This record gives sequence, C-alpha cells and structure tokens, in this order.
Amino acid sequence: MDKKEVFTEMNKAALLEFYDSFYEDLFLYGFKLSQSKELTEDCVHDIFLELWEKGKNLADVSNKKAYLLKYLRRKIFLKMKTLHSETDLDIVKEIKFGLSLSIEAMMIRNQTNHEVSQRLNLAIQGLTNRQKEILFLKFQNGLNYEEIAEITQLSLRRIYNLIHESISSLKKYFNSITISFILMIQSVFYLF
Amino acid sequence: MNFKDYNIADFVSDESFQNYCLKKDSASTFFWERWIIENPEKKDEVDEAALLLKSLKFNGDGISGLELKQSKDKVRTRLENQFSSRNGKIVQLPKRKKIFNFSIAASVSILILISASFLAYKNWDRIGPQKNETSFRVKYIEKVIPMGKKSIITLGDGTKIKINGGTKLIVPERFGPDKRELFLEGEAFFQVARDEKRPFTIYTGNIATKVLGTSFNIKAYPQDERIQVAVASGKVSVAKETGHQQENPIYLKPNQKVDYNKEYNSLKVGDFDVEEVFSWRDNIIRFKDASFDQVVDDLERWYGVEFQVKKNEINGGYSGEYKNKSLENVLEGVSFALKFKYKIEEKIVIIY
Repeated sequence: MDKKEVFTEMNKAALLEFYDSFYEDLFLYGFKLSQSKELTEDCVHDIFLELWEKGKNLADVSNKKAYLLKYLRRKIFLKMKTLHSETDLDIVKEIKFGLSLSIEAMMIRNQTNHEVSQRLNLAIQGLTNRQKEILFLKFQNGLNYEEIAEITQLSLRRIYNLIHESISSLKKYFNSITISFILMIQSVFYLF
Repeated sequence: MNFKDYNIADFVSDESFQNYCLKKDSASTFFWERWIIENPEKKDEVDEAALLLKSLKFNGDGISGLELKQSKDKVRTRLENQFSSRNGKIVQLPKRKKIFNFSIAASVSILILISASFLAYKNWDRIGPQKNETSFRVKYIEKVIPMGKKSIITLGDGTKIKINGGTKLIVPERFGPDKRELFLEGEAFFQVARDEKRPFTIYTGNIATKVLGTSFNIKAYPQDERIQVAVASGKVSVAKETGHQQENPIYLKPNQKVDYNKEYNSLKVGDFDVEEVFSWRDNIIRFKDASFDQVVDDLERWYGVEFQVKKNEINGGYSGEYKNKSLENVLEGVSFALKFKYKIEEKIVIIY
C-alpha cells in the first residue's frame, strides 16, 4: 500500500465515522423536508460522496451537525426543484414540513393521553411549515438559534420570533388540566 | 426586557431558559435555579413553560427504528462501494488539532511529512506557483459600519463606495497590479474608477460581480434570502462561484438588476425601480408593497434597533417614503397601515 492509499483509507474511515454518527439526524430532517424516503437517502448519499470527492475534511468544520444539516437542506431543495420540472419556485415553497409530537412514545394508552396527544398534534398542524421546521431544529436537534439561523439563512431575530409565535399558538391548547396530566404521565415515564 | 414580565411563551423562547430546562449548560442552570427561588410568584408559569418545552419531542412520522437502521445500512453500503470505485482527494490536515493522542499524532505527522515530500516531489509544478502566491500575501483591512450608520470611503484607485448600515467590507491595503478585489457583506453603492487593465471584482457569498468602471448597488446582507446587484451606469458581469470556479457570467446593462436566490442557487435578471434601490443613498427609506418582515429588517438596519414581535400574523404590504424622519415617525405610519401597536424602549422596539 503506498502513501496515497494510506491517506485515502484514513479519509474514508473518518467520513464513514461521521456518517455513522449523523445519519439518523440527517435522515429525519431530510424526510420531514421532502416527505420522501428515497429522495432523502439519495441526498445524504450524494453529500458524503461529494465530501469524499472533494477531499473535504469534516474535522475542519467546527459545527459538523449544523454544517451537514445545512448542506442537506440545500441539496434537497435543489433536487426537488429539478424534480418539479416546471422550475416554479413556488412549488418548492409549498412543500409541507411533516411534524407531529411523539406523545405515543410515552407508552401510556389511556383515554386522556390520547386526547392530549390529539389536541397538541392539531395545534402543531396549525403551525406554518417554517415554524414547524424551526421547532424541529430547536427541540429535536437541540441546535442553538445561531446554528438554526445559519441553516435556514434567516436572521436571529426571525428565528426567535418564529419560536415565540409557535409557542404562543401551542400554548392555547395547553390548559392547566392537560398540563397536569402530562406532568403525571411524565413522572411515570421518568420512573423507568 | 425584565424576566419578571416574562409570560410562558417568553420563557420557552429564551435560550438560556431552554438550556436550563434541558440541562445543557451550568451557567444557565445556576442562574435560573436562583431566579426561581427569588421569584416564587412566577413558579406556576415557569413550571408550565418547562413542561411545554420538555414535551416538544417529535416522532419520525411513520419511520420505525428498524426502518431507519436498514436505511442507514443500505446507504452506507452504497457509499462504501462508491468510495472504492472512485478516487477521492488526499485528506487535508485539520487546521486545529483537537485530538491529543500523542502516539497517533506523532505517527500521523510522520506519515504526512513523508507523503507531503513525496507529493511535493511528484507535483512540483503544481505546488510551486501556489507557494509563490502566498508569499505575496496581501494585507486586508476590515471596515465595519454598524447598524444605523452610513459611511463613504474612497479607495486608492479613486473608487468611491457609499456603505449602508450593518455592512462589513474587506479591502486589501493596496490593489495588485492586475486586479482589484474586495469582499462585501451588506449593502453598498459603488462608483468604480475606470481601469481597463485591472478589472474590479466584488465577492459576496458565492456571487462575484466584475466590472471595469461603472456605478451600481449591491445588497447582500447575510440574513437576507437574496443577493441583489443593480446597475446605474456602465456594464457589469455577475457570476456564480462554485469552489474557485466561476460559472458563465450574466451581463447587466444600466437599469437592470440580478437577484441571486441563496436557497435555490438561482439567478434572475430583471428591471428595477431606480428610486426603490438607490433611495437609501439620499437618506430616504422607501417601501413598495413591502411585507412586515421586510419593513422590520430595513428599520433594524436603518436605525440600529432590535425588534421584538409579540403579535402573530401581521399581513399585508406596506408602501411609504420617509426622508430624514425619526423612527417614531416611521413607526407611526407603518403601525397605522398594518394595524399593530408599538413601544420603543431605547434600542428595542416591541410590536404587539
């Protein structure tokens, strides 16, 4: 094995390691943006292949997750644009961001919980796609506002405002009774 | 704003409060634990906010854990095959070393040394000129115009630049013998001194604007969705840049503009309203059927203030023109048309 091959092997291993740690985050974000499993897989695949071909070293990137999510977002929009041959940008803008709460994950299937879950999901469906996307990046991926601003190319203030608006509308569906039920469910959940 | 005035949505939207609830950093935890003890009357709201925040967990929309695992393996296999069949570039050295495993670091650096000299030997023609270039490295000056301010500068070649608020300009101390280049983040109006031998290029994001001698306006704030180049006189070429390569340029004539959409990486040529694009130079704020978000962005830059929007859904377009007017004056007009209330507290404008 000559020196070049050694480096090639090192780079390959490093990239696959990043792939292993970020695939789930990338896939779920991409799937929510595109609603298509195949398209998301293709895009993630293309990203890593491009990184490989460019010899891009992710170790240089200070925030890898944000970098990859931004890359994926762009890639998905581009791919969807080419799929919609009309090249009408409005079509891309119309695309839904699928989001629903995973209250089911709390594994308690009584009547009340079902109601809370339904009610909240209704509230979530009432949000705009942009609001859903920001909520997802914030509370699912745990990114900070600056990173979200970088990924979505919006201003920090707008990110804050989008979160604030979403929470204000969700709050209307949260009354103190539902709250106390969730509190109860959560404390049961924490026991495990 | 005082935390005592916070409502539930304010709490949930506050990053330090989020970090406290999700136990992400100790400074926030320290602060909020103490604050809650000192402000027992806010306890109910804090609890409710924390609960709402913690219940914001989303599901995979029908994708099960198993499916995710299968998808991951499938794409990984595809990648591994591609990696073996195509040649990747040689790995670059990380600029900052983060790993401090000395034995690995030592062996890696020896390897790199060996193969660097090997490569240098093999590719001397390619590496040679690059090295030359860096030895002539130009010193750059950074000029930052804060929000709410404007500035005019004249460069060594006679080019005049009027710079709008919230803009960063990076110019070399001295232009080279064959080209004039600078970097812009924000908005500026250029009157480029004619010099056929040294084309003048302005880099904004991945758009390069190239001219010989003309006047034109570039608007390229990082937070905006688009970069806009609008030409007043002369001829201007605008090209997308991918890596270090420029794609086919678009040529603009006077009164033409090009909009580059960052998200879709697309260029669109069109005519523009001279008064709308150039009015900022004459201290006129001008809105033409502008959305509320656009109005807010412009006013933040113009007056150096920050907006906090507490009202949902402010719709409709706004048109209006203000010359040398105070912020209050402008808000008076906009708030009447778009039906909202406002409060100015020093550098913060609250919309409700």
